[in-house]
Amino acid sequence: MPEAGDQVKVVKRSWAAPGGLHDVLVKALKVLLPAGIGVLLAYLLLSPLSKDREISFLLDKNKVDVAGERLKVQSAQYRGQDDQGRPFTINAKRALQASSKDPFVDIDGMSAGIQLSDGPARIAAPKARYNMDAQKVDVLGPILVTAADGYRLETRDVRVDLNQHKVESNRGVEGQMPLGRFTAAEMQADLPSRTVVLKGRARLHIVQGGLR
Amino acid sequence: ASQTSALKGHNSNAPVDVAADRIEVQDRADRAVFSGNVVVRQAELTLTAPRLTVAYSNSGGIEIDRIDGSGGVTVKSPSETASGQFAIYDIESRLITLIGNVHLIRGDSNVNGGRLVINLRDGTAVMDGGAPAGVKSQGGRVTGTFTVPQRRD
Repeated sequence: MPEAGDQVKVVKRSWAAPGGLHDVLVKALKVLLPAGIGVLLAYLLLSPLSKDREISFLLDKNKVDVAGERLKVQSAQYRGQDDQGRPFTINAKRALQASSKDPFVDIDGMSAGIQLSDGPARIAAPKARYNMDAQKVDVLGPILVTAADGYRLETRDVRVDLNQHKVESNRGVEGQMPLGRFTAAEMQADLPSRTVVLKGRARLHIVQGGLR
Repeated sequence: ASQTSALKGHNSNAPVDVAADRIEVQDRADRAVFSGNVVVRQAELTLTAPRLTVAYSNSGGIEIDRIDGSGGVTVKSPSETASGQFAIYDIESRLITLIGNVHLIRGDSNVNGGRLVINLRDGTAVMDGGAPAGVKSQGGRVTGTFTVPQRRD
């Protein structure tokens, strides 16, 4: 039998010999481990009754960050009817209503469809504020109105009345209509009759591009 | 008046700028009504009137057909100033016609009459009694004062 094998046997035997280091260790653990479990259990049972730290807290509504938006909708659609009972729809990429009390909706990416006597018309504006009760839209920035017959009205910062299909502004206006580029202090555009009235020092720049 | 106007060869297709206290554009009727010290500018031509209408056609692009001024119209160009009760600027035929108590002031000469036709092609300005042929004429007369430039010889 090679000596190495005997060597290994000797080591094993010394581990198993009674009264060795291993024996003492196991005896000690046999007592300590169950005791440890007992102590831990006791601690867990008793800890909630200890008075020194109050774990519970009161939620203070002022400090907590209240979400301002009441209703935030992606790609919303609002519908209504004009004075003649014809439907209109307002599609919004993003619509934000501060609270159900006030009927205002801040719209990003508005595309409204209205029915005129001679066909549909589309009103597009990147930013607008829709008053649901009055069915009026305050456009903040550019607006483009296109009608079925190719009529186009481009302007900025106007109010669109969806009941009577009027586009108005009295705070200075500029834009482009079929006849030309205009600026004025006030504008009233009546879409059904394709009539635009400009007041104040009104100016019109007509570029002739006919086939003559 | 035989001198040719500075409006000779005026481009009637040039852009037109109109300013007024009130502008009403009726796209359906292809017409725009201007009221309240209206000023129309096209290249060197300036036309002012209390009331004015522009008739146009929109076939792919805007073409002004006629500009009518009323209530006392003044037509100004670098070489003359003409005024009359009514004015009709026919863009198509490039003629400006002034009717009713017409005054033409060109340089030192001053001509009055019933009707003045300024031809924008050849720059001629023809004043006549006013009543066109075939209409009962009230004996419109043409009066004028001419100053002959001093002969410096």
